[in-house]
Amino acid sequence: MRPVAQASGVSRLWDAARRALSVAELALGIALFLLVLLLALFGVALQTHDPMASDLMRRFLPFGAEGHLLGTDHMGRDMWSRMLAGLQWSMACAFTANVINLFIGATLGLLAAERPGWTRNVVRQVADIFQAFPSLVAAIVVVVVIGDGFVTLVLTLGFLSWPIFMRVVYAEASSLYSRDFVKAARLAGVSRLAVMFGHVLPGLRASLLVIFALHFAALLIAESALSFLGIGAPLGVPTWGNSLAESRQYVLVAPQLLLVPAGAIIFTVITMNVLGDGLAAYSRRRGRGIEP
Amino acid sequence: MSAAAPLPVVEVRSLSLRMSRDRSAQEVLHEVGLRIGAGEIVGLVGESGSGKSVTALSLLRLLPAGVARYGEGARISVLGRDILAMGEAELRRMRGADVSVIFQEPMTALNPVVRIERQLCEVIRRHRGGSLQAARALSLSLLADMRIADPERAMASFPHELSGGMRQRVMIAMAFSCDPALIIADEATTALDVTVQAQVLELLRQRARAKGTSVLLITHDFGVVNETCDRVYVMYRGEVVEEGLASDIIREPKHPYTRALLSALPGRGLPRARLETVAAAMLEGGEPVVRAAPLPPRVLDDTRPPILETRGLTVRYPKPDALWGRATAPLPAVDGVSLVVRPGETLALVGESGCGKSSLLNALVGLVPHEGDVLYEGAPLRMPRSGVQMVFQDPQGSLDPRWPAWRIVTEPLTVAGRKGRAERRRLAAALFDRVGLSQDAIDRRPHEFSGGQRQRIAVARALSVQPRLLLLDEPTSALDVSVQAQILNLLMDLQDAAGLAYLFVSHDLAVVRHIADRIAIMQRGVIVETGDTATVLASPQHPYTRTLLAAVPRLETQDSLKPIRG
Amino acid sequence: MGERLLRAVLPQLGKLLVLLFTISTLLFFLLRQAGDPAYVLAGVGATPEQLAAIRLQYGLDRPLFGQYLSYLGNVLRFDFGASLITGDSALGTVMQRFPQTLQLASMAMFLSIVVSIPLGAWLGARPERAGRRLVSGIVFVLQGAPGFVLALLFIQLLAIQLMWLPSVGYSASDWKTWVLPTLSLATFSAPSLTRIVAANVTEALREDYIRTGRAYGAPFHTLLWRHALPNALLGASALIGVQFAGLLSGSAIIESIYSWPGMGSLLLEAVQTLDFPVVQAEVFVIAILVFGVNVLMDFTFRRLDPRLADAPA
Repeated sequence: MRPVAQASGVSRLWDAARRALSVAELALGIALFLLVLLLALFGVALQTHDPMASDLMRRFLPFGAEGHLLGTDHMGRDMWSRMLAGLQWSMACAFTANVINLFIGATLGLLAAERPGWTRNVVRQVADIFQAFPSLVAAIVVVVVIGDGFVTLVLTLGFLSWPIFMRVVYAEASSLYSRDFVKAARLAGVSRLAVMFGHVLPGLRASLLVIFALHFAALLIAESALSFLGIGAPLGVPTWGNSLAESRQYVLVAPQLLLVPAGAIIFTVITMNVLGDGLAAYSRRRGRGIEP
Repeated sequence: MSAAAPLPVVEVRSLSLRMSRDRSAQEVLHEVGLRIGAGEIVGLVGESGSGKSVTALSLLRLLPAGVARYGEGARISVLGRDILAMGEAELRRMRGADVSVIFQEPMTALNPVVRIERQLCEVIRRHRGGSLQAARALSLSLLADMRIADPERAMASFPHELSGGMRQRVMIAMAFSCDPALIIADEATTALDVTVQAQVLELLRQRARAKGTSVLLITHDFGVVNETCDRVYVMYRGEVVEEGLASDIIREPKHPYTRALLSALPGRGLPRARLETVAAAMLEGGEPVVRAAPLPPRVLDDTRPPILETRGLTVRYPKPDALWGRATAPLPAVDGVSLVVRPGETLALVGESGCGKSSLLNALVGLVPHEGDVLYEGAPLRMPRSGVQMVFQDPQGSLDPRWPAWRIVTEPLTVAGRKGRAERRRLAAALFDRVGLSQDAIDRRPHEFSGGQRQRIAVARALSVQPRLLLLDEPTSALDVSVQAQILNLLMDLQDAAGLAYLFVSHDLAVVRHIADRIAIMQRGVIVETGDTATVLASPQHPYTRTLLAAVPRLETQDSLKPIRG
Repeated sequence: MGERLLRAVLPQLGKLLVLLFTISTLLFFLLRQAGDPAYVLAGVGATPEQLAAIRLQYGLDRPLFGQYLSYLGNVLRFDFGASLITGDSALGTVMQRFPQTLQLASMAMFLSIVVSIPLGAWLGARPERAGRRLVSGIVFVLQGAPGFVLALLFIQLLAIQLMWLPSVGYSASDWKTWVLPTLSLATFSAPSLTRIVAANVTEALREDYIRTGRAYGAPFHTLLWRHALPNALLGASALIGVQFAGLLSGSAIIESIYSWPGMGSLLLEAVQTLDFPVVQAEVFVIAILVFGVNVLMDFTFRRLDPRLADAPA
């Protein structure tokens, strides 16, 4: 039997952390994610050069060249510094867009689950329309029309790709709303808001985390694809997509120019996928404990 | 009574079994011995977790290979062949041919996207060979044997297009398809309504007798054992604790567990007497607790104003039109029901699945729209109302798995106004005390409690706002017999102490006989008969009530079952 | 059959109309707020007189709402006007590119399905075995690698280093020019499809009817291919429509990398030259295409899944 005394906040957090790390996949995901996060937050300090400074005397230097860990590009700019700058851009972009997605999707999903009837039908139809239309095509059109820039890019991605959140939240919230404990609370007179914040939202936490991580990866891809096409990031900003596009002209001279941004994108996307899968595996295992 | 034939169909000796899950192994069977003679119908009885299903699945080595470890010296012989030493291919030739299984839930046991015809023919052709036409012809005659009215149509159906009883008949047809020596029926009728259960059991028994097939019938219901089996094994915590002729064991159980289990059954002794609980019996060193003396008869005053009354309550569900989304005129799920519950009494609402009892309950509490009046203490009932609380069937689903117990049981209290955490915990401890749970447990979450304890928590939550009427929706149906006895005792104690009125919805006549003062029988949305419990059950007037009563598997002969009037 | 088809299609048609109306309205106001189309039409260095003439000619001097109504009228007649660059009909320009995109997307979808189903079933049957864990890992990495990055790596390796295949360009008669674009586009959908099939198969193998099959002597391959897989595929089928939309997204970028003359590369050319009539026509055609594919998929799988066959859409 567990002691009667309430576990303190710190020790409960510690418990949760230990349980989380016991799932190998999640432990790996968290480790990779922390690495990427630290590089994104403090990467500026690790930049050996100004990512924009060109030195035409030192072009196309190979990996490991003196002073340039990952070599230099066709303008003699330091690839390592450019990669870190690109990481910052991509992470900021994907994170902000993801938060907007989460907010819109979760709100609409909850609304649809809470109020069956025409509210639900309208929300689902709108989500259908947004999901049916190829989002990259839509983003290309919108960004080109409105104009480049961080804010445009983030808002476009943020307002275009929320249906995934809406779908998951709708499905899970509906199932929670049909459970007897919600029925019991409503019959006892607990308010709709208290039911939502007390019973439904806590039940959604795990899946929201999973989708947030996996969708983060999708947004990273979308952002770099757009900037590869020369859309979104203003010209000259050292994004991975821009670097990839530039490297295409020098595939014969310096194929390594392709590898740096390609590797960075793949690594970051896989990190978010490992994290998402790990969270899913963890919540499945937890779920077995809570509801065998 | 058929005596065991010289060569047994099944001979199990000192079967021990460990199952591993998440890196820890647990012994689930200990030295189990079992013997089934040719043509014998043998019962295997126990509560959940007793190891009865695991024992049966071991006969065909159907447990997942990586998980199950058989102990040394364990021997399973079926038709004289050593199952534990057999290769996978040889086993496959036995499965379905020499021994076949009928599972509990026919909806999930049949493949949902394959037609019945293909599922039957696949089994027949695997073991008997032959042409598709021959397999089809055999399938048709098997379904006809199962008294399925239109075998051709059943063959062309998918499982979801058949009723539960029909699906189980299809499973039985499949089980007989290759003339096995033994059929294992694993809680084969538990999911069915009582009238359907009676038909299906009768079919199974008749076919087995006619073909000389042995049957191993796994059940938790002694009534089923009494009406179907020759011999019976009683299992408790992975061991066989008693075996013998079914009639002997039911009349004179020797092992304390069996005795306890039998006296935990409601509806046998005096109405409202305390039911014995298994835990008590096993703790008292094998001596059953003395049956309670007859209680003073409950005097119920029928002139008092009712606490709950419905007048002409009708529920109609709109049926959506596929093309235009328009509602078409539907058949009512509840049709003009008028009921009265008086303070301090228990009214039982009895009916089979689909009779409208859940719709009625949902209409009472305003979850579905209805016509007609619902009056609480003479005024229209408008939920939420602290005087009326509800307890649900499945305590697993009615408690939020993320909340500690103290938050759950005090949730209704938060409606009246904010209460401090210390105050809520204090109240929770008091409520735990009232429903017989340890006060130390208020910080645990639902998954740390057993099923019966969870139902106590649900009752505690309902009690938190001092209700006068509890709506109980099949509150013991998801529980084992011995746990059911505890909850029924608790409900009766609470009623005596606090003068609660109960509207007790149930499908189980034995439970109702035990706990209810008055009874209302419901069929197809209509109350067909109502009156005081003893009278209705002793001399049922409506044909449906008679059918229902006749279908309940009995432990005793008709005469001794007459309820003792208070 | 006929009535069933009607029942499936009628509500969907209503949805399509709402979709097209929404899209054209959004497009109209989006494009208008981007700037005065007269400047684009007149070209660089046009005089104010020329601009005024163009406004009059295209009705740009009328109130915005009036322009919107006449625009909607034109859209109803599938008249998107002429390309600002070539002067040809915008819809005609798009439809000229349509077959190549359909070819590329269909080949990629076909490749994904043909690879994913058997591979997913194999992986899902015994996911715990060492060899399959390795393959699962590779599929996982491929899922993480963006298709356009892989496309660049394919070109580098297979076309430039090994010189097995042409790096860019399209020829209707030379299948070798099809290989890399198809392969690249398939990487958008195949890995995730494989993982979904695998997960569904693993789950289906835990169902009760599989236990029944075992209890009646069915060998493992029967249980896997005849019982678990059909159930698993029905679960995964809803995603195929979404996958197709993803492929059209992907084809925009893949076509531009391989200079494939389809709608995707046309869209990029059109947005870069601000050729708005072509953009509008293209968005319209894509919406109808995606919608048609979704309805077709929905209808097909409804017929395949007996539990849904009679259910309302």
